[in-house]
Amino acid sequence: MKNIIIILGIVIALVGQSQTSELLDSANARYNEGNYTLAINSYKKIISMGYVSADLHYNLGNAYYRTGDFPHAILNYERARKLSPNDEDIKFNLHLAYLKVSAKNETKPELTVNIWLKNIRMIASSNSWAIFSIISFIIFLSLVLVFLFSSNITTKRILLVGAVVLLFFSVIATIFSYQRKNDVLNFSTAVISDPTVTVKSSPDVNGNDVFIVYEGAMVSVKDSIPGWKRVVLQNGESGWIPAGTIVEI
Amino acid sequence: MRLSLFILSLIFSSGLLVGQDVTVIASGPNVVANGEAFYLKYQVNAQATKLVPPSFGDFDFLGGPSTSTMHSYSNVNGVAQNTVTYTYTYTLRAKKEGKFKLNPAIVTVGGKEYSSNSITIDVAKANQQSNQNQNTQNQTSGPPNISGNDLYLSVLVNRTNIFQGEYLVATVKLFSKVDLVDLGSYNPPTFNGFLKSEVEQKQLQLQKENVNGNIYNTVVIAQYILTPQKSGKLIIEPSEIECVIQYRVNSGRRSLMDEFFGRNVQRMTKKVRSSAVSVVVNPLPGNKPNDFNGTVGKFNLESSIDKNELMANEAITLTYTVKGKGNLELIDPFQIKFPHNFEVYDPKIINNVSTGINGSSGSKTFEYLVIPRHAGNYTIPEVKFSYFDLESKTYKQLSAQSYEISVAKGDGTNDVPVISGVEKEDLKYIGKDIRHIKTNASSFERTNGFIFGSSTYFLSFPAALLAFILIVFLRKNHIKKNSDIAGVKNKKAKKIAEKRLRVAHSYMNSSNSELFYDELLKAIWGYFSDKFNIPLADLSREKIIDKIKALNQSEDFVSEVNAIIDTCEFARYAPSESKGEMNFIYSKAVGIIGMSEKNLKQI
Repeated sequence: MKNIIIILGIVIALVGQSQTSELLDSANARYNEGNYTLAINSYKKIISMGYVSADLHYNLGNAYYRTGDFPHAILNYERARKLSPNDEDIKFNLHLAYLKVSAKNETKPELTVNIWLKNIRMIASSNSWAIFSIISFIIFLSLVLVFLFSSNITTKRILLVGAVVLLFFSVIATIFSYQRKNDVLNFSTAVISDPTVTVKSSPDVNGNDVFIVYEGAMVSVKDSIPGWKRVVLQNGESGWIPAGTIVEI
Repeated sequence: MRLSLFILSLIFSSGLLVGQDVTVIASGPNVVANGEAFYLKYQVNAQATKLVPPSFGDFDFLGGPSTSTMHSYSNVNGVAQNTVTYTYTYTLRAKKEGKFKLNPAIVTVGGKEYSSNSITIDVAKANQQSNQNQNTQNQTSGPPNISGNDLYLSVLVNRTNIFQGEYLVATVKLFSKVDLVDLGSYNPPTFNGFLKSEVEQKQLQLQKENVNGNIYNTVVIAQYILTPQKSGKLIIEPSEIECVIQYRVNSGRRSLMDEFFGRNVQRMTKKVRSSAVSVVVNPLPGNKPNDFNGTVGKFNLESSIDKNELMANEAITLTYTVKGKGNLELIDPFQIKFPHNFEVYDPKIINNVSTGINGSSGSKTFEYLVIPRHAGNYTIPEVKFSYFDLESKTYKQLSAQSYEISVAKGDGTNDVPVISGVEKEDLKYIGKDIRHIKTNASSFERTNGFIFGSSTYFLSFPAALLAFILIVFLRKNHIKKNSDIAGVKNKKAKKIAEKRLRVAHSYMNSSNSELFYDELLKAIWGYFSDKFNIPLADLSREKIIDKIKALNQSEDFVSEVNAIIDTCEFARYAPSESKGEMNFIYSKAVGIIGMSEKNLKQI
């Protein structure tokens, strides 16, 4: 019974995958024909089906770029970069897209350690990390068991070290699994789509003007009420802007 | 020899004279006052055998023709030129006002007839100038009252309604009826919103001009070519000039000497000022082509290339020439999209533009020197140039053809250092477009169905831990049991004793009494040793009794244990052969062990 369910799941996944790759092919064909609006719709359809990949967002960004919608292009390139931080093509096109808007491409410099961690994290998917964390936890427990009932001192030492390492692995894998899930699901970044937007101190047309942001600036949406969004800029400044002046995923 | 040469040259020069075109030029004043005498001249560059003047019916014929001859001989770089000019002069006098045309004169040179140009003479009303002398003489001493009509400055423009970029000519002209001697400081007009260039004046020339029937002496002070820089109504601010005028004073007595030396003539200065002139500049129509640069006029575009087939690293010269009339100076070098690996030098600009009263005209040439660095077939795209055509009042686009160039492999001597430079340019150029989409089907990640965060995931850890604890617990129990040797011995005491008893029983059957008692004793000692966890070496009867007593056993049991040990030890030294004896002792020993097992269970 259990086996049947697993096989069924795999089959459904495979069918879904082939369907999306078909859709992706047709979207790419639209793009190559120069029919960018249709390509955008097809790419978005794949996303709405519950799939996501760096390449997908990169292609969507390209299609937006071709139609001249640079804020959307930047948004999708940023999304793609989050999913695949080391892709040179994504970085390059993002850079070009930023040239087309008034805002500067401000990327906060990251610690080298963080970059390493990120690179390691990107090796596997959230699910792989989750499984890895469970398996390494089980191995950890097994090692502890052997440690407990072993009489040889040398063996015990080795086992202790191994167990500590595996516990560490398990914890790290758990964190990575969580972060990867966040990468895929939570993308709170939005891009300003109006040429200039005045950020207000309160969600009110008559509110005090705090500062001005330009088209293409990256903000993260922290809060929203009907018609207004509270955004935080990369430099930490925050304020309220009308909901229609930004684009989000 | 020398003589023949001279004759030859003479013949040659005369032949030249004959072969030359005969021209007849009639000249006379443009304007004369009624009653004024003037000269009418006919200039012929060959001796005329006959000259028939037109009829002078509208004028009084005073005399002529008087003939004058001018010879000039020039030898430039061995080319000798001999020019002769014959001038025939008639003296005429105007007798009525109006414009009169003098028909061409017919000149006969060497049997052929040539006609001159016709000229028009404007006869204006006679000034009072001739009488002025008397008038001023009658006046008292002091400067004459000169009105604005007698002396004025005017800025004349040839057009007042133009397009932006079109030129106009502004002439600053002084009109005078009085005796003008000299000109003082000159304040040129200010041309706000115009780009001006001054037309050089050779020298100030006095000319006669008829203005509304009055004859003025006019002087062109300056002439400007103006190009408006913006549209709308532009105003040329007034200009000013200082004039020195000569007048006679009435000195009462007049002597011929005074008059001759000009003693009764005085000078005065007067400033005259022109009025402002406004010009309407129309903006160019809105549908400007992308490459329009503000060039207005009429042009054509020519291009040429010195070669189409060459080796790599050889130079090509491409020439584009814009010819025509208009503001040529605004034309910038064309932005030509040369193939990337062409080395392109800044174009050489050859300006051949002359600016005169007819505006700017001429040509502007751009010479591009390019060097293909790699072999291949290339195309130099066509060049487009837009301008505003003043005649049709529309924008026009000119284009120069594209060129196909095939470059063969060069010797490659200076390839290497160039490549890096070219490569850099390449990068810069291509870098203007985004990279292509990724077409290989990538692995998607699902946005649902995450293991992390699911209850299975979170439960798997406690489950594993629980299993771990269970295993540890069970294992610990097992170990605990295994590690309790006394308990095990205790448990196994009976088993071992029984084993020994069985051996003893077999000795009994074979009537080996010595071994039987030995084995029996071993079984009993061994049993208690195991039971009380006392090593055999330390075991003694007293210890066993003490242990049993400590366990609150009855005196009977103690004495029975004592009795059987006694019996066995006795029997070892004096073994009884009797089978009944052995049987009795055996069953007693079994009974003791069974009893002990029962009574000492709680240990």
